[in-house]
Amino acid sequence: MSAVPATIEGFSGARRAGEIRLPQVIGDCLDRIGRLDSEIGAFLHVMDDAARREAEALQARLDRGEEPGPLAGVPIAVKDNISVAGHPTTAGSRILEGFVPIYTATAVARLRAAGAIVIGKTNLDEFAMGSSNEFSAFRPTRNPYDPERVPGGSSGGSAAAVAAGLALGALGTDTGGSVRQPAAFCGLVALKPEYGAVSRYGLLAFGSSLDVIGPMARTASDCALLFNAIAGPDPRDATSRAAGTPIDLASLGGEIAGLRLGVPAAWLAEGVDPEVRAHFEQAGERFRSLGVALVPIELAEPSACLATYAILANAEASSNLARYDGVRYGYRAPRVERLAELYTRTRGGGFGPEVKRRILLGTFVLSAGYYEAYYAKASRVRTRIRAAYDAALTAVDAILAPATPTPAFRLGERLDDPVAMYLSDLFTVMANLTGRPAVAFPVGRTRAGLPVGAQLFGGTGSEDLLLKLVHRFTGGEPLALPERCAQEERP
Amino acid sequence: MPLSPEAIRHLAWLARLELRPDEASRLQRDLDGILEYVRVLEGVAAEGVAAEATSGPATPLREDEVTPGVSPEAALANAPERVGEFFAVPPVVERT
Repeated sequence: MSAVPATIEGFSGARRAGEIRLPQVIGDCLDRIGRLDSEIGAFLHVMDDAARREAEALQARLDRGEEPGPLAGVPIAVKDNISVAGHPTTAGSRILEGFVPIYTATAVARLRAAGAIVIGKTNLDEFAMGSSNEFSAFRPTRNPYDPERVPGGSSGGSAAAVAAGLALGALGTDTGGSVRQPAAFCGLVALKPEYGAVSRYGLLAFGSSLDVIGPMARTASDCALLFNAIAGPDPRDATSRAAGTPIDLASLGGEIAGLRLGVPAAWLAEGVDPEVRAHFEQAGERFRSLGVALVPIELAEPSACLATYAILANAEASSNLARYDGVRYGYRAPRVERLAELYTRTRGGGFGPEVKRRILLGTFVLSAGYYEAYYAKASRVRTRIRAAYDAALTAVDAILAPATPTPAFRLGERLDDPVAMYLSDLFTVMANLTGRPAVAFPVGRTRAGLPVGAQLFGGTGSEDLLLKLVHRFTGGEPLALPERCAQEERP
Repeated sequence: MPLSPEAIRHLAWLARLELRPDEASRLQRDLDGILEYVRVLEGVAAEGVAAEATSGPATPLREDEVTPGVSPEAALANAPERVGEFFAVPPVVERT
């Protein structure tokens, strides 16, 4: 058995050197999913036959001297709230059991146009609502670094797949931190692009003023490769915009000395785990050693951001999820005699506990008598938060913050306490409220071996700057694979 | 102020969600906890601030041109129940 390279760059180098052949390496990747994923639970659907056929076809093109694209043959996993025609898409919900989309999301079509092979759809919290993947209606996902712990969420399946070496990169979605928090828990680099930078055509909507599709991978360069493939305006998504020019991969190794990073020191008082705090402070030292200046700044209270997010995201969710009514697709409650009953029983039986909680909360904050105090107030606070971030970013190049208050927590630990679960996103929601780019990246591991992540927030169009900072910080090296997965693959 | 059981029932009806009695009492407790947390916003001043969902340019309008759409067969491919080229649902009104 040949070893699957650890990064997209490594894979492409080996592929160009003729050291790997796509049918073999994709077959190895699928075999590895077969051996490891019964424990991890990263995938809801593996595209076994389709991926093998694509590998054969792409290899034939390479053998004829064609160049199918910068991601030729790269095995990529896609979160299961992103549509791929002809393959089941459930969003982790019983209400979409059996649903097969009739079209493919633009982000996926663009990955394929760049030569990538989509190998499967990854597990998630139901409709991307959650921070642990425990709200998947089908099964929880386990953290490859410690199977007793969660991978984070809601893109937990995408994170676990890449962390375990089951895919070289993945698409996730980020409404309040859903690519960054699982990346921090699983030792990955994940980019939350600027709002509108990536088309959402084919994405199952959650919070339409917040949702963005983002790449997850093991290095900053790999994230840049994926971002370059998926970014750009799309006539099928009126909220998509012209992104900056593609990120120049060579520029990621460029000089960062002289840049200024703002550090919101007050955040570290907000219940941050001592080991996370220690790693964060070491990360600051490392940036200093690279010539970067650290500047203390003041920013909006994270708790005010989280409260604003909880109101706005769930208001939007309650509207977006009105479409799941049992009429046109997915689950329909059996033996109903009236249309009103069809709606209430389909939704009551098809949605899980967290989705119901959020729909009710969103309905409440939009309802007569409460709209002004909750939704309208939160909408105004969002404007203030965005203004405060943009103002802070005129004095510094980017903001350095922890990605999460704690490392990965144990399965079950926060399942019965919604507020404790929401607090996992305490340091991530602000990038969705502002719409600006952010990136999570690994800064070390705890004594127990759990990855610890940090985060960089940037101004408009700063994806390249953020990835450059991460590239220089990490020296371009990925975090080591979890020992249990590394041993399995490489004797 | 805590939400009453009647308020939960009313919200569930507005959202067209059937709830079991145990679910309703659990959700009442959960929503009270979340609404207590978001009270932090009471201390944030925002009077006179405009509500802007997103920043940047307004959503552009495309040219009003006819483009290919979804065929009836494709649109109905996932229908739980259909009659001809229609989605079928239970009766809305009584037959007389």
